[in-house]
Amino acid sequence: MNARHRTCAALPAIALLWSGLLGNPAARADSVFDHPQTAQQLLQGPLAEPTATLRGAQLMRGTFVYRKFLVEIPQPLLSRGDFVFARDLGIDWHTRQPFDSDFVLTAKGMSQRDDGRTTLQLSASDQPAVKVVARIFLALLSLDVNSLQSSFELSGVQQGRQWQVGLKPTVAAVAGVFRQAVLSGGAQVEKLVLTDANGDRSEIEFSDLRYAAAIGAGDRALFTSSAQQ
Amino acid sequence: MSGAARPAQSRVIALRFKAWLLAMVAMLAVFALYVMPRLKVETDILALLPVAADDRASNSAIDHFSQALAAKIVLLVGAPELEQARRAAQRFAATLAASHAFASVTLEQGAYTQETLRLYAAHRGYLLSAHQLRLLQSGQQAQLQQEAVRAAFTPTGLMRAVSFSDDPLGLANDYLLQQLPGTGAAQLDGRMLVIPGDTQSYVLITADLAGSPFATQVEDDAGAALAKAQAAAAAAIAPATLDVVMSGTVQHAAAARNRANNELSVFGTLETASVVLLLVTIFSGVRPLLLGALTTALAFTAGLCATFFVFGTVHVLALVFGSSLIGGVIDYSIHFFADRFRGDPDWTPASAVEHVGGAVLLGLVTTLLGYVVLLLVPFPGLRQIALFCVAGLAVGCATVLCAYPVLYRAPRRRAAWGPRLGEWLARVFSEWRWNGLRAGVAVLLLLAALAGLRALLVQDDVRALQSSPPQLVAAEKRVAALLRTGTDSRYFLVQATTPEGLLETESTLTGRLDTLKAVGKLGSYTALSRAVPPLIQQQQAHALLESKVLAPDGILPAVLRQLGFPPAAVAERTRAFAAGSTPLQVDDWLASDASRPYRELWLGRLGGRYASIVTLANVSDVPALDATAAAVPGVRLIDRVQTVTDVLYSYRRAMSWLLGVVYVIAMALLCFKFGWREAPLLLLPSALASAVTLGLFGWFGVPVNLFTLLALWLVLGLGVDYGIFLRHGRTALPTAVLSVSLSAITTLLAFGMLAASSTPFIRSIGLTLLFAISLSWLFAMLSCLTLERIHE
Repeated sequence: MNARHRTCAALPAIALLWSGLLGNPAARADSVFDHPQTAQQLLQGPLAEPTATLRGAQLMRGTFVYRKFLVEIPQPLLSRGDFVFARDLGIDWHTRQPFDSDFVLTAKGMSQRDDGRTTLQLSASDQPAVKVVARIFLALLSLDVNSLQSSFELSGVQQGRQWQVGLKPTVAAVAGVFRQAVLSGGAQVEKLVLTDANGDRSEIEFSDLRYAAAIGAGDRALFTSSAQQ
Repeated sequence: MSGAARPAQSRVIALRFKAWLLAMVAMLAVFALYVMPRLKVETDILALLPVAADDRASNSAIDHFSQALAAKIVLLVGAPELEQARRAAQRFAATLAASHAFASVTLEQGAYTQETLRLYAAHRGYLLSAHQLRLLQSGQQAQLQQEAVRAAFTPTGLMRAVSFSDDPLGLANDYLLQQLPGTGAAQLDGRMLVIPGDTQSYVLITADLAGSPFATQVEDDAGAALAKAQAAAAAAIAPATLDVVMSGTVQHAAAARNRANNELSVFGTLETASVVLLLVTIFSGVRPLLLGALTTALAFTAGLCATFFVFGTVHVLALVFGSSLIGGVIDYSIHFFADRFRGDPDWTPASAVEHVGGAVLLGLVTTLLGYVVLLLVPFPGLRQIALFCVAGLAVGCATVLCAYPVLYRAPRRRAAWGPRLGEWLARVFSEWRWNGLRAGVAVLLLLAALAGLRALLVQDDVRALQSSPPQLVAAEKRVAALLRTGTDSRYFLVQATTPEGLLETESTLTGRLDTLKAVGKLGSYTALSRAVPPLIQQQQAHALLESKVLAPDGILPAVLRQLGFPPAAVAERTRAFAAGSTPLQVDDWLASDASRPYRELWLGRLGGRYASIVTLANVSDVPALDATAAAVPGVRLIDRVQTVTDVLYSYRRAMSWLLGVVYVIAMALLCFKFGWREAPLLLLPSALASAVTLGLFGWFGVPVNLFTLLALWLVLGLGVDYGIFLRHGRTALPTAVLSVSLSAITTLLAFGMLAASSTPFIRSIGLTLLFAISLSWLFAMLSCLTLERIHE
């Protein structure tokens, strides 16, 4: 690959619910890694409140804005939609704009339906890489730092109610997926930033988060009817 | 005896003794110094049987792969918490690795993905996944383009091992997904493969033994290393919570060997004790005992040496038969010792040899005849048994004939026991008078027994003939259930004259397997041509990449432009993609760590051909696989279990015919020696005893297999022996009766106990002999002592 320079793309201000407290997240994202913490420390410190929020819930739903910053193009690729995260089942990621695409990730595999047509179907039992990725993403969203510590170096900072948790892969098999990840939020998870080795960056912001103590039949069907093997 | 003959005779005896002594010392030296340290006891029933294929190259390929598989063990180290399981597994693996009993121990997975991607990067101008190759071939590049653009906006692109901007079309990712070996339920967590669970989590360890799992030393070393590793792992966590489940040939081999050892030592001890008791009470004095023991030991050693030099290993079944030599060889000793009771006042050991030597030799010849026929059968196990017996019996017989005249001294005190027993038995049978009623009842009993033949069951399934301890079978099942891999024992053997031809044949095969997969007849398969496509396919991929992907109107520039990449970046990426790329060769692949999970599938050049293996999982339609193998030249489906079952079936049939042939040959031999009127009387006991035994098996529902027939083979020799001796000893009937009865008893002791073996095929042999030997003895006594008089 040719040499890349770090993009200085202007960060849209609208979604930075916590930027007032922590300043520029791009700059901050680097500093969180200076504060290594164990999973235990994170759960007792920065993640105490958000994990408590999650613990009582079986289901979390909300909307997302997903921006992909590629070093070679000035504007981020932007998509938005809604998601359902069901404990022990998986995540349903429904992109509404710029096109309709329903992505389902479970421990058993992943599938994607575009305009009602299945365009991707990967079973975790055949594809160990899918299993690794599925495990990491499901653990990230459920703040399950205990299961992440075997593959990542964990770090964390907290300021008031706002927190950031950093993850750096320690295992080659995972390093390809991203070079580093930063989760951040307050009472709940609000943002996930993934950075690739070449500087490309994916930022996902969550909003309108709602929790449910039980998983309804309709939501359950999202994970069973999507032709998972 | 004339006075002049004696000195000449004693010179011959002395000479024979010296020759024998020299030969035995030489044999024992070779045994102790050369054979003993190298001896390997084989316990796998499969080793007894001819290999699956009919040509040398296939056989050696199958052998190669079977050995590689047999050397593997899979361990699941479990604890209630995953962290504990990891800690325990670390200690376990470290202890195993330090033991030198294993050639390799794998706990932490290598950077396999990175290695694969590195290899891909150097050859990416020629590599495409099967799925994308198909899309491009069928002109569906628009779909590939749309998928690529969507992946930029959805998590699909996020969850790839190669980042989006490095692989906008997902070519590397798709190729990589196709390479990674399936791990079943195990998942990569950190560097370890784990199976997390709510109450119990497991960590996977795989290891390869440093040698054949059937080699005694390897078995012992591995067993000790595993026990040590288990202790170390237990000490690392709360010991009671550790749960280690193992799967692998070595534990079955070790269990089979231990069981055979235990049984052989228990049976051997009981048998020796009984024989000692018999010899001491009947023949009095320690000399018969010592000579008997010496003869047996020499015979056994001879059998071991012969088998070792011809076959390299000794199968446990040959050992079992070998232990029966105790019975057979002791027979010769018994005939010799019993001769003393003839009542000849001038009896000397030399005269005994003169008197019984002929009968002993004749008996030996009939018995050897049966075994020599077995030697000619292309069936490794039977040949091993035959060779073991031929060598053992010959040495035993030689010992009796050469050494006894010199080493035996008749005790001064005459034991009254033996002769009295012989006289009593002889009287019982001699006083038996056949009348209409008795003959009628006897015939009815015989017919009733023979009627059972109609209900006779046969059992050729190899799985029913070899059993492992239930806890080992349960462990295998648990490992399979936890891992959920469903790997099948069937696999494809692919052969071709060149590596390229091999890859092409494989790829034709995998094309068909993909179809079977799509319709659910096959779960999955593993083939190295998925990693290294044949050159012709790589060139197709190259041409398609050039024309449809990288060309100015190709989909790569299109996708990049659509996403907003500046024209310079588009041009640079398109240009850089295939620059310096070369086709991937098998050797490049083998040299890379990327081939590690598949390396055992590549067998290389064997017997002038290149060979590889395609493994299968979750097979649900075997005929479809057969049809696939038949349709692709150079491919055959190897199903060892089914092949062995087929082999057992065909050999059982062949052996039945051969047994008939041997009866005919024996009949001719006996006619020549004893005349056509007596010969049938000598053969009848064995034949009838065999038939009645099978009839009784029919009534009792005992299934018949190849090993039953093997035992009937033995019955022929022994039954004829009895007849010859009784006939030969007509001048001193009580002595002959005594010696025949004693040899029947020792054989029953030797073999009857095998009926209690926990290994089904050994039990078959024991049960058959238990019935057939008792009956042969009865029929021989009846025919020689009662029917003869009808003739006279």
